[in-house]
Amino acid sequence: MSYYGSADYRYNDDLALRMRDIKKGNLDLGWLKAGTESRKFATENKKRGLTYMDLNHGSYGYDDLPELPRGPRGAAPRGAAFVPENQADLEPELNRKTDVWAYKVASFTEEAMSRQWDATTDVPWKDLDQYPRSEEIEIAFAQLCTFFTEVELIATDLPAKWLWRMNNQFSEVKHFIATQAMDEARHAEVFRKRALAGGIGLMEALPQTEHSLKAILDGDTYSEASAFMHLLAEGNVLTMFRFSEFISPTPVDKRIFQLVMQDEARHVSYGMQHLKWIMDHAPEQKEQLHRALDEGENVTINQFDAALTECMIVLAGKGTKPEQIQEGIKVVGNMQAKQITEYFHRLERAGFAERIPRSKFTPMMADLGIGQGVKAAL
Amino acid sequence: MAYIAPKDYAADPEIVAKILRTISGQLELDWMKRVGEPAAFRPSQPSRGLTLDDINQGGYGPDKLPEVIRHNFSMAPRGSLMPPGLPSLGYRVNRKSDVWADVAASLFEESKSRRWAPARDVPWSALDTPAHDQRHELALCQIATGLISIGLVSCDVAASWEWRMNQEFHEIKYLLCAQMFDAGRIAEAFRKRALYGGGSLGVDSRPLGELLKSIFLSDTYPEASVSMNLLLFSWVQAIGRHWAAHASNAADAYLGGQLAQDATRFVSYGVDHVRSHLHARPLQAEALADHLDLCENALVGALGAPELIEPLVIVSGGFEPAAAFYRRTASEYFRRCDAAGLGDRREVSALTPFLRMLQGDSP
Repeated sequence: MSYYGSADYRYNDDLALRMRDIKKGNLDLGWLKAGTESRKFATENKKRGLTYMDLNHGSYGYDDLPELPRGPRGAAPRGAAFVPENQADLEPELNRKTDVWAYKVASFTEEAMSRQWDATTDVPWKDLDQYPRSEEIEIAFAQLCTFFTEVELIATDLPAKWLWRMNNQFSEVKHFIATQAMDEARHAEVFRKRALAGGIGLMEALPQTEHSLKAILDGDTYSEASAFMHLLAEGNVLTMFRFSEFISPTPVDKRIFQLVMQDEARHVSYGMQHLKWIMDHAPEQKEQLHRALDEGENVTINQFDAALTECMIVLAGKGTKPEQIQEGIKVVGNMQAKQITEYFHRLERAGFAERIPRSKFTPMMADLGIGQGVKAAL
Repeated sequence: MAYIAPKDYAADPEIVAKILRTISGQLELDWMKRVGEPAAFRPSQPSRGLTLDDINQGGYGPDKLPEVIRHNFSMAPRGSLMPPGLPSLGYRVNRKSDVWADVAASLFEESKSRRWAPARDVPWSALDTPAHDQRHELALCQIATGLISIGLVSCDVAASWEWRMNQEFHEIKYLLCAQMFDAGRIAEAFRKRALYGGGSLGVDSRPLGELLKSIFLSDTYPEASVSMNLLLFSWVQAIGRHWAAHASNAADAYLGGQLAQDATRFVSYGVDHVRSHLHARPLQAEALADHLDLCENALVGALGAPELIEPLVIVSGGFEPAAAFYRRTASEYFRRCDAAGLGDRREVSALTPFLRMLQGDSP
């Protein structure tokens, strides 16, 4: 037990006297004089219901939340009355708005709440038997699902690692991160279920990939970890989801990718808007983020030669015959170039275009002579 | 950057050479031969879909998990093939009995199937003409303020343990993500409830903050679980029911019902987790009891604080109904402790003298 409360209530005369008074009907009612702001909040759009954006006014809102919310360190919700020296200090470590905030985070959270789905019932599992697949296609798809099962839980562990360190004044960000953890748990669940429903089962874990995951989890700051995970890694996965929908062997699989894509796009958007917030409010952090992404891109490069690439080639070419392999290589090459160009576009949109010439992907793609789109982006 | 890759891959000619070999069509494809245990699981009940229980069979299920995980500290999914070279991701909670509850997989399934969104699912306009007076409304806003704090810190508690748990326990990790989601929703729903119309938030409660801090700073996960899931959420569940029972409008009836429903999942996991933990390691009963001694003491502070008991008296229609609510909830909680293997805590709990105090007896 690390924390002992300030009073022993077994032997507490104040408590006994208070209970006696309340029992007699003598209420203190000090809480009625909270002195907090009273405002008329209403739903601005009946169809959307009562959103966080509707509550974004005055002392309850997030727009007026300062960069350094001095005082609140406990469980008091933003806008509630509290006495700084009388709060139970939860010792939050992330207390600057810039540490966590993102443009549009409240609407991302609302979207996450309204677009929940269920991997158990929203995927037509019973239809899987209607669509014959060759064994090599199912093996390739099982490897792809093993990869997704493996990587998706990093996006629960990483948000969870940082969420409890954030000041409760940033409740919309904390709530968004909680929704992301749930989204990613559902993603890991749906890919595990798909691998175990297809006849092959789970295949091999990928050490190269795991080194990337470790690098994400071990980020020194939340913003570094977010740039690596939300923007780079989840950005890559989002492109892979789109591509995987295209090469899915069955309509059941297409449905899975349609469902996970909408979640993943939201996470990438949060990462981009968090980076943009930093660029706009704390540009002095640029070099630190450059260094984090230098290493993030480095470990990402090591994934290009994994079984992962080959399983996608087999799926894209619909088999392992030489002509099918050639077709698969063309499709996967385009997808990989697209991963890089989309990453670069996100950096631009976040106001971090200066990253592109420094990126480790840039010379590598040139060496390989692929990705005309990358050159165009430069 | 805490983790540095063993190589500068961007400057590694071998990587470029491998990629060029792939581009030229020289695939290795040896991974296609590394197939594990075949699986073609289907829904046992088609109307319920493909559940975690349906796929938890053979080497993919949790039954053969050893008590202490020594074979996997990576993110390799349970049942996958694990080649050499997988790194450790630094998991600290690696004993099955520290986290496991058989009911966890079903509770995760339930959390998804019973999803709701406060923005749209609560009939907010029912609050436009509440059939209660202004003092009653302010009392509800004060209780809501406390519930927001509970939601915020419960989310923190689940998060602070989830990332430390071994991936072999993925059902538990899923459930903790659902708890983060549920707790975040409690904070959202009751913030919206307090502010809708002409509402406002109330005052922070120091004793409630101390209770939450005692749970948040638990030394071990079983201590965090027993104090949050079993103790705190027994009371949250009861507050949800009480809120619904005293609702004067459809919005409050809905909110109270949903709060009780979501809280019940925390309680169910807590009871089953503590039971299986103590079944596997009975000597841990003393550590959990010690922790509950301290947290129950903190709970008494929160229950007796004017910021909670006075609005409850107003909402309940007097002192006696509020005291009866406390007695009933404590009784349910004690029964759950007993069912979980913690024995009869009535004699040792700080709640007992507090309940006597409410009756007017000497504590």
